Amino acid sequence: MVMLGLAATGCGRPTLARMLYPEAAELTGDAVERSLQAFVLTVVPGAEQPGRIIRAFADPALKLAPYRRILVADLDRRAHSSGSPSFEQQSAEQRTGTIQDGLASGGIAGKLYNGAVFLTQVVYYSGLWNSAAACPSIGFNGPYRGDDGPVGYPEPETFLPPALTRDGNPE
Amino acid sequence: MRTERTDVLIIGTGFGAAAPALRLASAGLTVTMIEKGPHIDPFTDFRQTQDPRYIMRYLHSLTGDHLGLTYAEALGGGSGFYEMVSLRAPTSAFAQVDTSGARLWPSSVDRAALDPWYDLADQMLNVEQIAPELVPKSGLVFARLMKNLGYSCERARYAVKGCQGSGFCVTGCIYGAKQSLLITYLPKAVEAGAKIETGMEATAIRPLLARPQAPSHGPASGLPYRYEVTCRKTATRETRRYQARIVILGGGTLGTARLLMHSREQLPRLSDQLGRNIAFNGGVKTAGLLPEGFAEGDMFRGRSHPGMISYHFLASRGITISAAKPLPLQAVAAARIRIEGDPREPAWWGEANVDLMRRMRHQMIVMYALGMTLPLGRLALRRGGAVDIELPATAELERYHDETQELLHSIMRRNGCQVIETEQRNADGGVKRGLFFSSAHHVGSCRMADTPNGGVVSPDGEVFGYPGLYVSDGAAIPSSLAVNTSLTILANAERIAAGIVRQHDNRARAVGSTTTSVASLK
Repeated sequence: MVMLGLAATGCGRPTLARMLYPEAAELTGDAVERSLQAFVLTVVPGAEQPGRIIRAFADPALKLAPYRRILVADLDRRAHSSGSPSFEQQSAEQRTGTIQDGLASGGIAGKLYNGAVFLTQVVYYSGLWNSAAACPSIGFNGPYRGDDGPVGYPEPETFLPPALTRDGNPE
Repeated sequence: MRTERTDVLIIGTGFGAAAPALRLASAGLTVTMIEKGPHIDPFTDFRQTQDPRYIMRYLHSLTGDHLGLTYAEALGGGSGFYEMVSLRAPTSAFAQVDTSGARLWPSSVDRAALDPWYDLADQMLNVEQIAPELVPKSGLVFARLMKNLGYSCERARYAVKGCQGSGFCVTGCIYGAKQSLLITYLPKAVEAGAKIETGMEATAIRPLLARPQAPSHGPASGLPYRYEVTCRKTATRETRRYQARIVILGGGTLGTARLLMHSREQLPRLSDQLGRNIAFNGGVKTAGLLPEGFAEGDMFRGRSHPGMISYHFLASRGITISAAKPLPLQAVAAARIRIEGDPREPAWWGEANVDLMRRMRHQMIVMYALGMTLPLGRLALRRGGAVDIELPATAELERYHDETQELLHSIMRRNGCQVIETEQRNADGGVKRGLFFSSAHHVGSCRMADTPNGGVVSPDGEVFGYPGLYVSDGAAIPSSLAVNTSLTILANAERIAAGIVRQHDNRARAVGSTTTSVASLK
């Protein structure tokens, strides 16, 4: 399920999407990066190193890559419609509203927003592209280094209720 | 196209395939195993990572509207990636009946019949009950939650030696502690003469009508070549044929059924039960936050399966209950989560989600139940050769799911936990609507039965109507077990292998062979 979710993130039909968002082609690489970082920091407020996280949006293995410019274009359109010059320049509260709006829109756009939020959370919390540091904010330290505290508690028997079996196998 | 001959062709290298390979090679037969997935060196290839590019190399999914199945394609099958839980199926699992009251298992196969083979499987995999001091914190916390309510709990049994408690069982054990088939059965099978070819997919089976004459002496005496299996290399698409005297299908519940479904024209006597009756162990998961002042769990320390299992509700509800320790990738990808009653919006992302994820490591407890749900899943062959998985969302399954979830929530609430609401995610990050089960414990697509009306293979594992063609993997297991399925699949494969060796030995004696072909199995 995990793998399938990552593999299938995105919604297909990139050509159609580009036709619907011609302005996406005009976006500079820097503008796309800044908007995606703002997106990441809205989905995961306080995320460390958002620049690493947005690498996922360009990774062909994760299938959101053909849509990242479309996503930014759509974020900007929604920001414009609420009177902001761009998504990147919105306040945190406004950005939250913009993303909620996108998620609620249904159709291809709704799937795109779902996929983008999903990808952001997966990449951030699992420490992809930063396996050494992993995700310190949730205490996930990545590969085991032998310094992560004891496995259990002293006097484990005090936790255990009576057993029904002699060896752990059900009768 | 190249054609090779072998006494025994075994398709797959997982729990259903490894035992026959070892036993038949030890009996003096030439054995060839083919594996669709890649080769794995258990001491150099595994990684402690959640990189999907690594994981997707070995693990795959098949998802339908109400059922999602995860399976491995790799040398050793799922044994490199499972949580090592090695439990015998309860006696009651073998007594299950279908909606018409007919027993799901053949009359000759029950817990008592399998116990000697469970003993052998335990011995081969070095299975032991976990010592109290090795139970991870999350397992101890789960045990205390059960204890507080007067419920029993057992220390579970695992195929592991020298566990480091790193928490990365499901990405492959880099320490060689997991007693996977990669370090137990398969090296022994190779030592006994078995050949293994990875990256080779079987695409069709047909009986050989003009059979080359059987040898009159030697280990294969009395056995002609009976089947031809067409294969292709997954990397180069190069095709190859194998002609074999015995063919054993051990490519897993999905792989075995898919191969037989693709071969139905060549094997017209196959039972119409093929691809039906898929059982999935009715997994129901819930999560909660431990109350303030309660002992903390630790989601990231200790073996992936945290050591404890409760059989308290096995007799009354047909379920077992365990704790789970998902890695962050598994947790986030599985479900959208929010604390029940948390009024903040958005709930499943943004500040509220960050707060909840910060509490995941030490305060979150995940419980899941496995149950004896009926084998209602079925495969449908699509044009083009792919298969779909279908499960009807019956009222009985809905009721089972809701009642089981309610019980798990009740255990949490009565302990003062806050329940975490979960919405299962679908492939694009959206939410699955309605009843949905996910499982890596799917069995039964070619189930054993007393007659072809009831199943695809006989109680000995031989495909009805096709002597010498066997199914020895999870596909042959007729029911949910309410515990992890690997040990039962392995024990049944040992039993089937012993039957083949015995039959072979009788045949060898009948044709007057002077070669002793039967190795002692125990």
